[in-house]
Amino acid sequence: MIEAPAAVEGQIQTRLAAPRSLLTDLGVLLTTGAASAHAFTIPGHLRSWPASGVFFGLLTVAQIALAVALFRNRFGDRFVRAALWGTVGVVLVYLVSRTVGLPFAPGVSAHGASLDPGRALIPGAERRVGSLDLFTLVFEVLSILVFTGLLSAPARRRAVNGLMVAGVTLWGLAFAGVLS
Amino acid sequence: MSFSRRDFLKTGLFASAAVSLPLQRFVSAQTTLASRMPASKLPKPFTTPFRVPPVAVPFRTDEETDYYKIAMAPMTAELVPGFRTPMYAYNGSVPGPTIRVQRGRQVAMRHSNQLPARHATLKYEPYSSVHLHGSPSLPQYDGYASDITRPGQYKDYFYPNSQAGRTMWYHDHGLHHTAENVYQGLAAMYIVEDPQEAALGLPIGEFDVPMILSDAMFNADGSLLFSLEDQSGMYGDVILVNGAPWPAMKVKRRKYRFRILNASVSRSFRLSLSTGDPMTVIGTDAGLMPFPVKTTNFRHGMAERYDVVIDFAKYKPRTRVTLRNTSPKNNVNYTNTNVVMAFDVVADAFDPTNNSVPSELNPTCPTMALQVSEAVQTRRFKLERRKGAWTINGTTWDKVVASNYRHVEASVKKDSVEIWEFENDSGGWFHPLHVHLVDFKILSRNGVAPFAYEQGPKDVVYVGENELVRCLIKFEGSGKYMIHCHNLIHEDHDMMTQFEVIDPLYPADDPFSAPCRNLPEEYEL
Repeated sequence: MIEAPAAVEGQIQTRLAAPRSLLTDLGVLLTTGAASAHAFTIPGHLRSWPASGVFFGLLTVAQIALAVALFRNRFGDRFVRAALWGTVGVVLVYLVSRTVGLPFAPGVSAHGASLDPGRALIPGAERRVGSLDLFTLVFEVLSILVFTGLLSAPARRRAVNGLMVAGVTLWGLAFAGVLS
Repeated sequence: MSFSRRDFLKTGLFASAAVSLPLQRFVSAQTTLASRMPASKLPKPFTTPFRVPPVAVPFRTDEETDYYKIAMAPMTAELVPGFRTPMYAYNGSVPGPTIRVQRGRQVAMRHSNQLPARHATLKYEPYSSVHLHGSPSLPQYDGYASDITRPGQYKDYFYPNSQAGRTMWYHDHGLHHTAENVYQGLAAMYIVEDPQEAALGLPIGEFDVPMILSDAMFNADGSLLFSLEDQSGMYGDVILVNGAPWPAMKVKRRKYRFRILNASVSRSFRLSLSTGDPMTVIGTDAGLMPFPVKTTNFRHGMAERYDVVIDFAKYKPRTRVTLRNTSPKNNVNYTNTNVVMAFDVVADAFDPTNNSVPSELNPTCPTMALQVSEAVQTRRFKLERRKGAWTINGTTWDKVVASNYRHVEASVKKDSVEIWEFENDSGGWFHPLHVHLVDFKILSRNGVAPFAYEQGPKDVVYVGENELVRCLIKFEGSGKYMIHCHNLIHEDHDMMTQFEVIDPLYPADDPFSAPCRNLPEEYEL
């Protein structure tokens, strides 16, 4: 059995044959769940906006690959950090799409009347949140926490601080009425 | 792994923000429908009296023109008995006051927007643009969607009323907010009376009845509720006729002319009588049909008008005849959306004059006399949802705006005749398509003749699921005019573009050439 050396930030480590922890198993479960939910939405997205269908297809593939890597216990700090911030990015894109709207998405930008930029014409019409949305979102947020837990101590400290900054920013924007 | 309490707090900040914002939206969406007025609180069909909208009185007239002032303002209406519903109204009436004018008399209307700066719950600015639907108005008076009048402003509109007698309506057409504004009450009938029509002996006076159909949904507190089906439309669970839910109307044993306008945001109807008896369709959007058509039922899309004569002479007093709605597909239906109103036959004496329908109504109708051989061009307009937006040939009104209003989907020479084809490849929705300025004749639906009851002059055509509808149009007038779906949610979410009629002799007026002014009024109309 080969044991990988102690975690060094930025270095890809391979924990060959190391026993999977409960946290890793949880990561596999959450990532697979999010991938399944995204896969489920691909046909609908392809119909309404093909580019979004392609995006969700790629996201599904990426999340499945992530789940496989976690399952096989083949990952290191850099990999986990990429998974963490990638997932944070997906969550942020989702938040923007359900609040102010994505500037390049046809559904919202097409209706930002010149007098009322960025606001849906019938509030909430384009930015409804369904139960599948919430399910996926919760899975992704939990997986972010799991990825944080999988990081080495120095990397985790930075990730936690980064998440705090992101959280404070989001709450600030929400209270300022930008994200509402 | 060691995760300190501080780490939990820090990551919790992100997690809570990420979940809370969408959760608030999710809960809000659930609450919206949960707040819907329960069916037990809604009136039972045929328990409210039928009423007719008031007729507007001009504040001044001269030899050629009637002058009206219309104020758009908030009001509270009792649509559901026992509940007060905040609405937007023309001159305090929902629907607004009916304008009746003789053909050839001009009308000048000053519309002042006295609506609040922001809608209390929908959080939009209720600016307006007033369209007289069915009138060949000049571009600057046509209710061009982007020619808006903001709260605290007013605009004067001038209508020639040169066209043949017909049932028209005036309604809001404000950029991207038409659905909300019309839903809340900014719609009313406008009737051009024609001496030629008066000579036919058709029902007049109390027997010539405006009938404005719409649908609504209410919150438990009586306020209006918006419920969108993925932007496919807004479908209410209450059918309103002239603002009254499923009313009952006392009718005498004779013929009545009903001017039926479907002013719903998204609902189409298929109307029939509970007795199975035929109705006589005498008029379509743009006036009398060449010949009357008897039909036991007809499909009625949004913004279409059908003038229908129903003869109650054969029914015994105390007979109740209901007007039914066997809904066309792709509407959302509820318990009582299958009925519209009731007619209760009474034995009262009545005026026996003007109680007939001649076999010929308008045989020389110029629009219906158009021939395919006159057409100089055929154009096709594809109606489809593309990338989430409703489009015409892939175009939205935003594209028109982005082009600084230069983009036109068709450029047509004045007085030319063209065939316009409207194609809807989807089985999931229908589009009542309105071409501003012009009257037209429907040539075919998927290669077969149009329904008998729509073989009259039209300005809206119901483009059904998987249909290709061909229309023959003569383009009179000049300038830029809109083409759009009259499912107002589709229109607002951008199934609207424009065409241009070019008069080689005179430059057309610009749609923005008669701008609104700030209140208070600077001068008398």
